[in-house]
Amino acid sequence: MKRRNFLTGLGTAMLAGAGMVRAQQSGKTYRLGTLHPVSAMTETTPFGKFLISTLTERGYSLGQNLTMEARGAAGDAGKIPALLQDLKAGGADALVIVGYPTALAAKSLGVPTVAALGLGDPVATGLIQSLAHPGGNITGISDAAAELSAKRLSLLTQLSPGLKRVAMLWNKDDLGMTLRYEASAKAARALGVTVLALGVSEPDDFNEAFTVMDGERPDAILMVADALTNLNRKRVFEFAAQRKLPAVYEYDFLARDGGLMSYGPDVRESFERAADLVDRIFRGANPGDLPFEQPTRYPLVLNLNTAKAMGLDIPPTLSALADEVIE
Amino acid sequence: MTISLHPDTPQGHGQARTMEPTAVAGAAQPKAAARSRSRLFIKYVALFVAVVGIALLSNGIFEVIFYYREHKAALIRIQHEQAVAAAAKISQFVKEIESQLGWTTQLPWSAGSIEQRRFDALRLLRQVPAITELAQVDASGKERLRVSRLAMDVIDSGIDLSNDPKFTEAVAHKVYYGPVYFRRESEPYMTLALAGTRKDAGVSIAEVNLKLIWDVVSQIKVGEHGRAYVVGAQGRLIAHPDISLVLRNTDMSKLVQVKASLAGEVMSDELQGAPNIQGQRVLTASAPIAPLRWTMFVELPVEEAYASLYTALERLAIVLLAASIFAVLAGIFLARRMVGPIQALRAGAARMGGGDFSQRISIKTGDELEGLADQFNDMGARLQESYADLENKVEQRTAELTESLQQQTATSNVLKVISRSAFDLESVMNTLTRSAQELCGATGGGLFLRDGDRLVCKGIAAVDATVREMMLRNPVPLDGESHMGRAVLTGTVVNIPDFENSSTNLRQFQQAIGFKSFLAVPLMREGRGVGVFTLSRNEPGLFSQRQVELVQGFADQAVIAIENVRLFDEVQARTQELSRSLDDLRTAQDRLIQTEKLASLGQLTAGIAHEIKNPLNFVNNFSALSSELIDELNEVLKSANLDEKTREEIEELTHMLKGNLEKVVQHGKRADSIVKNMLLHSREGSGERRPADINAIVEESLNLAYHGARAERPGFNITLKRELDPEAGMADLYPQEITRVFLNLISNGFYAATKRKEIGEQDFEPTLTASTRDLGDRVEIRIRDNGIGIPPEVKEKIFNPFFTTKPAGEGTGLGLSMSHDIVVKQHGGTIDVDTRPGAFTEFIITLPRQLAAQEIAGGRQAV
Repeated sequence: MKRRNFLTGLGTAMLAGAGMVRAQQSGKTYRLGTLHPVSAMTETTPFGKFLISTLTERGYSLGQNLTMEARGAAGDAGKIPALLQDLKAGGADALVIVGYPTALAAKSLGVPTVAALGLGDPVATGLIQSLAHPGGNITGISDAAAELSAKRLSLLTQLSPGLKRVAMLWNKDDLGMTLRYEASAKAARALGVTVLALGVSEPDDFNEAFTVMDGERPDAILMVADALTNLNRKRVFEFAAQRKLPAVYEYDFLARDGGLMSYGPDVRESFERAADLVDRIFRGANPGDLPFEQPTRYPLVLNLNTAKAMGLDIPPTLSALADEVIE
Repeated sequence: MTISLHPDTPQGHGQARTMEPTAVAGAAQPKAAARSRSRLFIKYVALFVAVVGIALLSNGIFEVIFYYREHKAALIRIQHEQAVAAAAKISQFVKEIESQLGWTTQLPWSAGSIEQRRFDALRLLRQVPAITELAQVDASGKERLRVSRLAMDVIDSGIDLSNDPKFTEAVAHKVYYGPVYFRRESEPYMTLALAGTRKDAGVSIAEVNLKLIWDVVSQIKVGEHGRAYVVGAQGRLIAHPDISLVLRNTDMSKLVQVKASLAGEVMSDELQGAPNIQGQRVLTASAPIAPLRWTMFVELPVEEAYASLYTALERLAIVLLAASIFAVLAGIFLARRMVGPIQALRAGAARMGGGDFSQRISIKTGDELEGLADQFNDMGARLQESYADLENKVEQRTAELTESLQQQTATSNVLKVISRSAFDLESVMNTLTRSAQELCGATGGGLFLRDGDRLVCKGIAAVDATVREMMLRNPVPLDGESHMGRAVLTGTVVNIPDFENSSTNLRQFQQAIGFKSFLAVPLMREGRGVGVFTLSRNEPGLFSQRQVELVQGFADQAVIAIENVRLFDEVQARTQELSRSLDDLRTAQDRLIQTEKLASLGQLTAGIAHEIKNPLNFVNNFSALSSELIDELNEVLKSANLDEKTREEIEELTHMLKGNLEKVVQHGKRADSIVKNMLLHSREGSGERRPADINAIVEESLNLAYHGARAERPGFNITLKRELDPEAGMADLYPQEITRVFLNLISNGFYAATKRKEIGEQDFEPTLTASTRDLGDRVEIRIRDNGIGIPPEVKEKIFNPFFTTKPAGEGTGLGLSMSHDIVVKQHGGTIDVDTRPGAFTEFIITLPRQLAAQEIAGGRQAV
């Protein structure tokens, strides 16, 4: 028995070090940079949490072998290039960014970049050549939001069957958003709904848009989410509530924030997938070889509080289909 | 077991000496011992290790082989089971979608509103995330409803799908699994159509996002780093834990394992370990996913699969190693046990071999080795005994040998002295006597040699001066009255133990010396006594036999020495005689050679002269006649009527002619004289042969030469010395010829002496000495001048005819040649020259007083 123990010990000693060592355990500290067009996605924000939790699952630990530099452009698209350079100078191994303008700026930066959200259709915007083989230094989560706009319009029609006119708010300086708006407008026309186009390019434009809407009262509002509109979401929520206008938004967090309804890709899923891509980049993958992924879940979120405040009755068929109901 | 050696055992004194020679050999032994020990030791260890090692190794190899096979088989089996299980999960995934979809085909189109159906469809989408789009077609193949996650719902689009395989296949087989396709060339999708159980229920067509299988596939755990993946019928990757591969629409059909599986082959062993899509070597197992015609693959990296195998092998290797080390240690231990006693035996044997017979080997192994050690000890004991015996014998023998050696050495010394002073008989005798006296421990010794009828003392030892003198002065009469005399006469050894009471007349010797015992050994040559060797001692008693023998040996040596001296003297006398004869022979030979050479030259000269004489006569006679004729011519011309001028010319011409003719006459006469001289060589006899007084001839020759020279050169002067031996007397010879010889030599002497004066030595006084000497039957004449001498190279040639050193016209070169002929050939004498350049020249002539007959007869050949 003693001999066997001795031999086993010997064998174990000899085998030590033969085991696979994951990249995360190799002692290197990975630097992740994030850039949001408005507010920085720190580890305390929802987006940041999604990223960190997935990376933690993959074996990273913030403060130990992972650092995160979060930057926000505070809604000023002009700051984006400087912030990206800043992150690059900080030695970022990978970037997670949000929004088409950021992606466009990051494309020429030379740092592996994962676009997590708000990218629009990257093939249509010319950001990449194909989803399967993006090329360059960028990959991420594609966004079929242009198609979804029609879906959102149909949701609005279910909420107010007599829908004739819909107001569309979008950042007209953002190509991705403009494309999305155009797809929505096209879908609206197919549904026989007129579109009140409210392209904005800066916060002050919202008051003007509200004035326009007061003048030409729409039956509902469709807000194309981007940095600018997200930044001014509360004003839109308030305006919609005051005017008792049904509104549909693109991301679940907007409905949770006080928007009436949202339908769009699962943000959590997007960030989790983005984190997964970051992990693969950290492990040496070339972002150009990582296909763009598409969201699989499109949760329908209803905020019954908002509906109640507006005095709006939600059809039971709709609430039955909702993936998340906020009461 | 105990093994011990006793190297410190004290050794006997006798052994100590005999140990010395073996010490040299002993020094070389440890090295050889170490080598032989290590050889045996290594052999034992190697044998043991080989036996154990081969057993272990063969066991290990068998174990490895079988373990490897079993492990691999088990791995493949487990993996295959995993593949089957995974395939079942995928199958389950599809079946679930299928069953969910089944709900929508329960109702006939006649029942329920379209709105209700839409609601149901949307709910289905909500429940089944994999379904992205759902279309419902009525029994006629018209699309009645289409809901989508991404697009707006469409009701009653009226699209006719009645001929679409989605519809027809579903109707025909209740369920239809469409081919996998990739939306936007990225996401894998499959159409799943399901027909209701009722005919009018229509068909539900769902577009299933296969990306969701990813969840299933990702959850399948295959070992630590193994993966499960799904490949479609076309070889396209449908699901893989690495979603990127799926989204990239990867074609897997190129992988050998996928190719083999799609072709329906059972995966063979060779495929195990084929590279996967990442290029990693993996073990792959596959299972079909019914009813989709997909294939589930489960792969495990080879390193991981075989890790446990390798671990086992490593353990085995360690066991083998440990066992080998143990074998070596055990081998060393056992070999040590084996080799130790052998080593002790070997060391003990080596010590015995080295002469240490007291050595005892102690081995307590209780086996044959112990018995061997005991036998060794017995042998040692016996050897020790016999050794001691030998020692005594050797000692005794050595003493004898030493004594003998001393005698030998003395004898050898004596012989040395004899050989060194072989011809000094006295010292040889003294040495022999002294040696014999010393070796025999005698008081005195003497050696007497026979001289006529007496015995004379020739060698004395250890006797004081008066006794010595007495012994030398008083030879002992050789008669039967003394012991010595009797010994010589009878040739027997006389050994007298008590001299005083013996019969002898040598009492005075005995009283003078006072000895008591006496030994006389005769010196015998060819059976005759030539002397006696005597030894005396002051104590009475016989000389021992050995001493007698020794003295006899010395006596023999003395005889040999005497004989040697006699022989040596004889040889020396003979040698001197021979060398004298040889000298005479050499001289005669030299003379003969020279004589022969000159004779042949003389003959040649005479021949030439004879031939020249006649033409020369003509020249001389006619030139004289012509001279007279010119006188006559002048007489005749005197009376002729000629003018003055012509007469003068004629007179001048005739005068010149006459002068020329006189020169011809003069030189002709000279030639004539040469020829005459030459002819003298060939003339037989010259005048009469008669006894003549040598001194008179020399005197006459000197006078003639001197006056001749004075006549020739008026200023000539030379000092003449005569050392004539009155005993020179008469010799039988040809006086005229000999006078010529002397004249020749004397005039040469004058010439050389004068020449020396002419060269420049003003104070020099030319002198010529003529001397005669009586040599018994011969007489010697010397002509010596103190002239310029003759150089050695010239000296060899001076007797050759026509050789001369004088200027042309002064000498014919025949003078010495002729002199030689006359002296040697005609008179049988000798002529020699002794000279030193710049000092003197001396010709030495010896003439026999009586001419030999043959000289007279053959001295000259007739002309």
